[in-house]
Amino acid sequence: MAVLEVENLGIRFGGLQALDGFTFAADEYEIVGIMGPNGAGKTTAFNCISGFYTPTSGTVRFKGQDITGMRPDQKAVLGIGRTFQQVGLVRSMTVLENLLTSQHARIRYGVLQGLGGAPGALGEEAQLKARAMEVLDFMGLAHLRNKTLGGLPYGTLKMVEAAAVLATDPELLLLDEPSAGMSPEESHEFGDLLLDIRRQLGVTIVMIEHHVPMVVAVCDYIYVLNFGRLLAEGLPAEIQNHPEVITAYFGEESTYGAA
Amino acid sequence: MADFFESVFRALMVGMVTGTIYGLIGLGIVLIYKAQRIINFAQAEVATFAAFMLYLFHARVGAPYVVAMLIAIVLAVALSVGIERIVIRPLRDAPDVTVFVATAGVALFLIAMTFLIGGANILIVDPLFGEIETRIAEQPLLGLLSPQRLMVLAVLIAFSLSLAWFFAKKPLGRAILAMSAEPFAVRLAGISADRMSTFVWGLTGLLAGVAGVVFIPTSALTPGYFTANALIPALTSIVVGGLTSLPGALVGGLLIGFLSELTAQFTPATVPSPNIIAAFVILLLTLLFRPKGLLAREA
Amino acid sequence: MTDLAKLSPEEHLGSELHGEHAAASAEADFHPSGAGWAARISVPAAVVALILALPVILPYDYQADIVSLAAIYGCVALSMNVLVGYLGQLSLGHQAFFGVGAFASAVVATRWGYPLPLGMLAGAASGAFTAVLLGYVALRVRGLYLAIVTLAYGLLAEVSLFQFGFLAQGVPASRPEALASPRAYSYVVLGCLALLFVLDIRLVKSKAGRAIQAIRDDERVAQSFGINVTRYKLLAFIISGTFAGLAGALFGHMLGYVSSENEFNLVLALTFVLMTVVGGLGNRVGVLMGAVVFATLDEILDAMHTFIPYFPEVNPVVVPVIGAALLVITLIQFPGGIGQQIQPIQRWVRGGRFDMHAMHEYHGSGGGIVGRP
Repeated sequence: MAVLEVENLGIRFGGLQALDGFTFAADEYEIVGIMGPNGAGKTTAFNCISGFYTPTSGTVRFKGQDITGMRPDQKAVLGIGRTFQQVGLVRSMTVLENLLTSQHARIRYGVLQGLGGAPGALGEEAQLKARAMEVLDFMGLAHLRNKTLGGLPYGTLKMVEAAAVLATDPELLLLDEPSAGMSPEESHEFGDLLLDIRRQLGVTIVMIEHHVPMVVAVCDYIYVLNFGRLLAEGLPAEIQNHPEVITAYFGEESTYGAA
Repeated sequence: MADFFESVFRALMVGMVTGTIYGLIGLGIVLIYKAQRIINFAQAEVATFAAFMLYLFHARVGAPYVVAMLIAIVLAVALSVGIERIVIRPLRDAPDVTVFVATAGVALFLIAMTFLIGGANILIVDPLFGEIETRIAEQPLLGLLSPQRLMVLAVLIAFSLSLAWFFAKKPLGRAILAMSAEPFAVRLAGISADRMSTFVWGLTGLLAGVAGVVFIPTSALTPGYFTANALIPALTSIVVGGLTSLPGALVGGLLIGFLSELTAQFTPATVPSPNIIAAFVILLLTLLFRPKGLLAREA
Repeated sequence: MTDLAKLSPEEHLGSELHGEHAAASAEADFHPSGAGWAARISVPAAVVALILALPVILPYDYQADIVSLAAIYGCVALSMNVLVGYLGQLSLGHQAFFGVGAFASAVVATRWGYPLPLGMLAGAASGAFTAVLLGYVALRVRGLYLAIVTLAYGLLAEVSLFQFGFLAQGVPASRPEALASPRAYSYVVLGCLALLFVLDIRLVKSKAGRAIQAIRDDERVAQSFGINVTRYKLLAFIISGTFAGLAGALFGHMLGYVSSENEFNLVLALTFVLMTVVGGLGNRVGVLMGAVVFATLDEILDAMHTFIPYFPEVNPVVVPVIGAALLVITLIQFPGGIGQQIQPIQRWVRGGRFDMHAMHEYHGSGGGIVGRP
């Protein structure tokens, strides 16, 4: 059963058709990769799917429900988590505070109950904290819980961002270039982490990624965008050797991927 | 019917003069904004400061009027340069809002300081020549255009023309305009950012000083006068004209001056300060529907 | 929800972090001893006891009014802190909410004859309403442009709203016999301040406070966490307006009369800004201290003149001069304000070690208005 179905997604900015007729799907527990050269429209597609842009055409379905026009916060409530190219965290808060904030969509108590210190609210806050510590422990970040983000290295911030998103137990994870800025070893470890997360937590993952080795190692299926249109789709091995994909990335005379 | 036209004409006469001041102060703010992306909250208060200096040197110290005017203007320039050196430069890397708050602090400082000079009294500064309301050709309406008020308009025209020439023809002027679009290129051309900053602030000090000195005889002087009466209309003017448009500041000023006076003419006396209401409404409408202003070419 | 504790935590981090593990864990796990806690609780307790004793132990009645004024400014500081500190929106017309609260309470409680608490409620509600109107504008207009709108809004309130009809002559704002004495009334004011202080603590520890601060730092990230930006922005304005309106109501009834002579003007708005910035944006104790300093500065200078030999007699006008100078110095040198300076003490009280270095790793939220130190 498809968790995410995107049909004929298109968006136009003024005179520019940034995305045109993009159709893809992600089945339950799949890891789907979206590739393409810079400017191909990958992040634009993500912004349409997660609600930061309103597409001019096409539909987005999550578990069968049409979510095309919804706001980003509404989609988060439904169980869709998203990461950003520049780390998407609240800069002035500590690691733990970030994980409490990221669980906002899951909170059931109302604003007034929170302000009044109602027992239900206090109980839920304790649960939030417990959950946050669980995730931090799982990712080996517990010792950083009271640290502000300012002093932390980039790779660690990426991990914190992943933790923040995981704290809500999302069903669909949209990752925007998760390995950007990482060294080869770090992205290899991150790839393993993604496989672990998928296996142990049961998440569907759609990720934009440039780092070919990681995409090939991790993804079950790949879609390639170019100039806003779907260029190719297939299994990683197929895509790796696909002539048009190689041309799009490296130009006509390239021998990349041969043999 | 004649009443209607008389009201409009009255609004035009008075509005042009107040509008000029809004425009001059707005011009100073746009200048600094174009050069450094800073909104100078203290701009209007520099004008008040100049007015106080005019009062001090003419009424208290007894210097001849024109000499007192010149001293006041020079001191305004010095004050503006001083603000740049002491407050703006150390905050070079700070966020824009921080610098804005700092200039608000400077404005408060100046308001309080001028209190020390004049106390809470309302001071009257004599006009340069003639009475405030004279009768030109027995026409009561034209009489609104007293010599002092005419001087205000003359200043406006003089400044508009000379600034237009400066920014179009002189290399330093063109460099300042280029600053907001291509700051790096300007540095590469060998123009020191510090000296340009000093110059721009000095120039805006000149604008504020002249505005203060020339306008104050048409009204009464109190601490914080221009900040209370002209800052917000000036900010509205530059929003309407476009935050990065120099002619927009002047046009916006005249427009706001005219429209607010017009509103005042046609509103029943029971409504307090209709001109402020008008300026506020114009500000809101512009920000909500045409945030770039009427004349701006860049964001 | 998946129970992560039952899963095997596989180590995915590089080894370089393991060394830090021990040190950071030790720091995160520090717990004071029983005596340590006793000391940590007794310091704030002593301060609170002193404050509560002031209205009784001060020699002159008018001094109780100064205590009230300081507490009222404290309420305004908490109000400013929500809007400027937590939401990150500069407010240059805050006197509008303050003044509206004063007038509303005077009209409801005195002119219309309802009980005082109802008047105070009306003051708070009017402040909230006035603020939320601005909040709606804030959904479409941003940053410095919105700051200009707040400036104009404050002026509009001062010269137009507060001059409307019978308001122009001023409105008496009386209080019942039991509270006629300044000393008795100051306890009411202190009580309200305590209430707002507790509400602020609750705000920050609940989803609303986190949501508002997340919006300040990055709206897109906030949305991706499920935060409805519109709702929480408006909420910040409502809370801020409520606090300021209540403060205004307390102010009106302290003076006994609300009129334009109270000068709900730009200078007042700037004073509010500067006491919050100098106090330390985002730090509730800091902004309270800033408020107290500015409310009592001329009294302090007077006292210094009386008791310190050779200390000059100081014109009260000097207060805004000092204030403005402090504001500029704070912005340039000490962006975290008083709050930053008292960080070591605050950390200690909350159960950490006493560490002078805490001043330098200031975890404040001035971000957006004051640059991070």
